[in-house]
Amino acid sequence: MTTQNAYPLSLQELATTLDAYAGPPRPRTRGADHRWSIWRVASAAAVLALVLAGAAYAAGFNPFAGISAADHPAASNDSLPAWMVADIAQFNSTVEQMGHGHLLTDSTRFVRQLPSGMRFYTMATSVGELCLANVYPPGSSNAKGGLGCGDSLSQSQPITIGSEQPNPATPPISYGLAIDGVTAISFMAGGTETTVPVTDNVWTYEGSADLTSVTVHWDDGSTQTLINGR
Amino acid sequence: MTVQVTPDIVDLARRASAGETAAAEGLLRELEPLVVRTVRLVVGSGSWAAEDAAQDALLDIDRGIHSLRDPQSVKAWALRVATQRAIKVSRRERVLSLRRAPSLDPELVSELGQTALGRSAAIKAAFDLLPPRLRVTAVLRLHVGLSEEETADVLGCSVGTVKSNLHDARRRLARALRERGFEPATMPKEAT
Repeated sequence: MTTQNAYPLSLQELATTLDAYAGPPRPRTRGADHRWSIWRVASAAAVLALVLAGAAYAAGFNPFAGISAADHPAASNDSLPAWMVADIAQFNSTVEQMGHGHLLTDSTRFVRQLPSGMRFYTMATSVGELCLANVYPPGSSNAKGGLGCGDSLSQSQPITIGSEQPNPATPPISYGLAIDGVTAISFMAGGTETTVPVTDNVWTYEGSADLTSVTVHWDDGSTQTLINGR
Repeated sequence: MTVQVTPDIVDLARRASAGETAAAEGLLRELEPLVVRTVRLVVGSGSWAAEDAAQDALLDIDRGIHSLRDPQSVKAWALRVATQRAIKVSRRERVLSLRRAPSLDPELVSELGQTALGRSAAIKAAFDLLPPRLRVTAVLRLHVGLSEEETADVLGCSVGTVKSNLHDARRRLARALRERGFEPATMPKEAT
């Protein structure tokens, strides 16, 4: 059910906007000359940790780490549709202004295709963020596809969560990446507890997009409850 | 067995507050994305002041970790330290009348017009003009995902103030959107 909101701005829209402009996980630096005086007074340990992190990015930090399905040499199967490459080229400058760097289409790797024909690809950005692109099969009545970016996966952030409803006549679809070792994901969807498997580092769910109480199942039998899916 | 998402960070906080250097490094790495993005959004993403404030907030946390009394509440403590830094910088900027670089070029906003990106840019531009207390409330509630009670705890105010700040922020943003000619969107009913 939808209602006309009293304001031309929902809390969800404001939250989405803030998320879009939150930028990379590390502060940008103007150059050593500007910030060095500050860094110098920090503890040596902290400086070392942050410098090492910066060095990892500069040396080609791999945002696909822990995603085995994306760990393969580039092949023709990895190519995004031409329309998506063109779209990315068009909005890359805007994405960069949002602090996500620019999308590196050459880094694209195919990870999974659903029985419906929907395909998932991973992609990196120039600031080391991880992106997940979804492409609907040609001729679908749905939208053509979508793209979302964020931090690379880690033990403390083992999955990504995204939802969309490109066609009002069909239920929303939720999906995301999962790091190696995650076998399934449980959540409350529209008041019902649901568990979906992870295949080739991707999970999907068709139904209510209101996912809460998200729990990750690891291959050693343990589980991990996430807060707000973050 | 269910394991909470934060046991590692709590353990790191406990060891870091006891003076263990390696734990302090690990804790900073874990907290960095949360702290940096929170400060950046409060001060104004796209400005150097925000990036500098984010770095300073990390330093504040590094320096203050020894004063952390309850490792279980390390995230709330870090957010408290970070938002204090962010508000301080935001107020300084207002007092000095220093204009931040806009998050998006006004010409770009104009070109984007009534598209979804244009609407997003307009919301962000208006958000950056809100008073710091409204920005920080919205960021903690909507970006970080804290409850009203948790937000009140971090900010040291009442739940009523949190509700009032969020209402005020939304009202001001709505007015700014209307002034730019954006129509109300039809959207699912939500709890407020």
